[in-house]
Amino acid sequence: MRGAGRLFDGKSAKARDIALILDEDRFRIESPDCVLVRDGWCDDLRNENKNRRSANLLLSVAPDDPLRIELTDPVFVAEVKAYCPRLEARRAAPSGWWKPYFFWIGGAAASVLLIYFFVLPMLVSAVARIIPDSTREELGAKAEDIIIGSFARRGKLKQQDAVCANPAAMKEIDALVEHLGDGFKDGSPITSITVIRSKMANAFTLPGGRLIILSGLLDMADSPNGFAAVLAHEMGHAEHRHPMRLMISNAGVAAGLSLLLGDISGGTFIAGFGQMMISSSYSRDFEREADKTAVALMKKAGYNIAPMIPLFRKLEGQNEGKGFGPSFLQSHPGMAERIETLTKAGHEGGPAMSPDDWANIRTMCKKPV
Amino acid sequence: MQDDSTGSVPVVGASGRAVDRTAPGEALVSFDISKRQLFLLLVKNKFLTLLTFGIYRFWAKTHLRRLFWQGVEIGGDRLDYMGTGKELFLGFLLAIAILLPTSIAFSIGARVLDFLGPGWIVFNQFLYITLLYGFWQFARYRLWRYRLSRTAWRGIRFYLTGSAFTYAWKVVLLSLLCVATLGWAYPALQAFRLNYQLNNSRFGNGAFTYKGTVKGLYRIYWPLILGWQVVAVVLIFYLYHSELSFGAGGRPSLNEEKFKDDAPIIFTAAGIMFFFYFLFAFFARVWEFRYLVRHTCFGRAWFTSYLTGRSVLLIMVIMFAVGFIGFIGFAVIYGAIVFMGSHAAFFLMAFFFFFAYVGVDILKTMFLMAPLLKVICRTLHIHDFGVFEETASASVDMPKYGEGFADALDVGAF
Repeated sequence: MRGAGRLFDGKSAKARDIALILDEDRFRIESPDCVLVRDGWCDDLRNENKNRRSANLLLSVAPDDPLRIELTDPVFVAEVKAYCPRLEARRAAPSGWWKPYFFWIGGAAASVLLIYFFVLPMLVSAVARIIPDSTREELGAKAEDIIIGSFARRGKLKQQDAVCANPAAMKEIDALVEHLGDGFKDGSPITSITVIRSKMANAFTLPGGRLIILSGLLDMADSPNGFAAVLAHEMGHAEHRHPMRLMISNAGVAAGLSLLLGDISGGTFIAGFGQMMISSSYSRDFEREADKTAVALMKKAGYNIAPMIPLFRKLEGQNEGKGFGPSFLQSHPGMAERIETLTKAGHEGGPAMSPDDWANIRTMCKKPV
Repeated sequence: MQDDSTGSVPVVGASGRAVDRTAPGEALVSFDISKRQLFLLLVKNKFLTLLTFGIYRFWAKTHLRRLFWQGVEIGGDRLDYMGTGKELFLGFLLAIAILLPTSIAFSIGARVLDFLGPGWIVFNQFLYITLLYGFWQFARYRLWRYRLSRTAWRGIRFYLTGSAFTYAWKVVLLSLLCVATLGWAYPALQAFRLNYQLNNSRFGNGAFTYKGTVKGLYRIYWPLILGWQVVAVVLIFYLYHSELSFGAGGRPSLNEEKFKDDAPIIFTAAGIMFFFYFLFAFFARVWEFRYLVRHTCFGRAWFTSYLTGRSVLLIMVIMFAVGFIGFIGFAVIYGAIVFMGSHAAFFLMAFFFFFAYVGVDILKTMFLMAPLLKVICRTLHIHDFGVFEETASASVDMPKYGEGFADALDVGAF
């Protein structure tokens, strides 16, 4: 079978008129004066034209060879198509095609894992240490103002009424925290304590060692020891500068993920999910660290930590229905794991304060200001 | 079947137009792809990309480019895209291995500077935006290099010389100058970009030359630059005199009562002004395109574009109209599903979200990119076209250009 075509040899933009000859399972390309230009197996011919608007065949003869033959005559095109069934087949990959994939996927994965497990946590704690105390304090103070403001708005209170200011009770809490803080080498990392009037039961630390207690916690805690253990847990966060580290690592994780996934093709869609997972896994480590610290502090102070377990169950119950998805998505590590840590700590030690003092603290937000 | 047909026989191009291949004079350019094929490809691309968490996007891009490139016919022959998904993917992995640590360190560093004080935040933001902008220019230049080096016509490839780094830092400097001069340096910036990019463009062993001047671009852009400054001055003057009152110590505050009454008029006027300004800027872009085409040569060959602002505007209007109708349609269906509120609704919703997700791409590709390319091609004429046919491949080993992984830094993530 023989037909006319145009040849682009990849060396010059000038088209050459040639004849394509298909003979048995071989092809030959000849110039008009019958000089052989190229030959090979018909099975190696491929159609490179992907545009269905053009009925032409654009044949390549080998992988990575810029040579192209264009066939425009519809009759010959149909004949060639019928003669060479592999025109639209995918070219077999050269041996060792997987090596660059293997190498670069490995390299990229190693880089990502290294960053995730070593560099980011290290960098973050180093940076958290570098940041001057004054900056952390300023940051914490700002955050505290915002938080108090938001609780005030929610409870329709004045800014100053949102804070429970009972000097006697505050003195007792201060003393408790100070005593717990004796367990640390450098004393308590807490620089200020604020009790906010709220139905919510919670306690958290802000950068700069600012401890915030939501008064719902006072109602929920049945014993002073449970309350003390929660404070000890928060002191653990403050000691290890968790709030600052979480803030910094979030910035890094966001930057990394947006690079990894790309903005188009649903990248941002997955990025949010990924950031949630990574951040929460970091914070799970933080919770574990804080729990350990709480156990150690309570022991050193001579307080029994066992009453934290029922309080802890109640706190989790409060969050039930609010969280979603499996536990790895939630920032607090699994209930079972944490309760096990607390149970292992035993129930040695005495109460954290006298019943009178405790009653005083529990009612500190009840009295009119 | 003819044995010895000659190249001088006129061949009917894809558009059905007779093209005389050996005519030494003018050559026409056209763009033609099947809408159905494009649509099916877009749907398939999106589906596989979603299914593979974005990994397929490199192959998706490659397939789409191959189709678009092969849709462009210049002097009777089509362009060819020689890039592969593999190159893009490996380039991306390389970028991850190198850029991920850099970008994380960078963003944490920026955070640390933030903590140093309010003065630092401003400086830091400035530094951050400048570096990001510079990196983006750098990546863009490499992206052009990659694309050109994978573009072939009649078996001969294009490529782009020059240094992406030089390009990036000069663009950053000129952009800063633009900000400092309130826009008066913009034509100079644009002139540099065109100059650097076009004068570094190659086709085989031939080079493109661009002879445009800063002055030429000033002629296009001066009314725009002056325009926004006049608008700004008028606005500030008006606000200062009519809407602000000055309390004790000369502290300005908004005259809220009066502003409330005047607001609808102010916003309507601002809207109209903004619309006309946008329209004008849009036309200036088209004029700039014609200017750059007119001042570009390839050896003896030179180019003319008859692109009109009106034809481009029509495409935009149609795209927005289609987008608007599509959005309304989607909202109605979505509303109906929410209203039904059954279990089946959830699955239906996922289904419709996929179509909304593909819809944006279809809108962008089928109603903007393809028609735009079509009108740009149709209005482009090449004079003394013969010189292209005389071009040989570059003496340098061709595949080396843009073959390196770094050149494939064609990452959509930027």
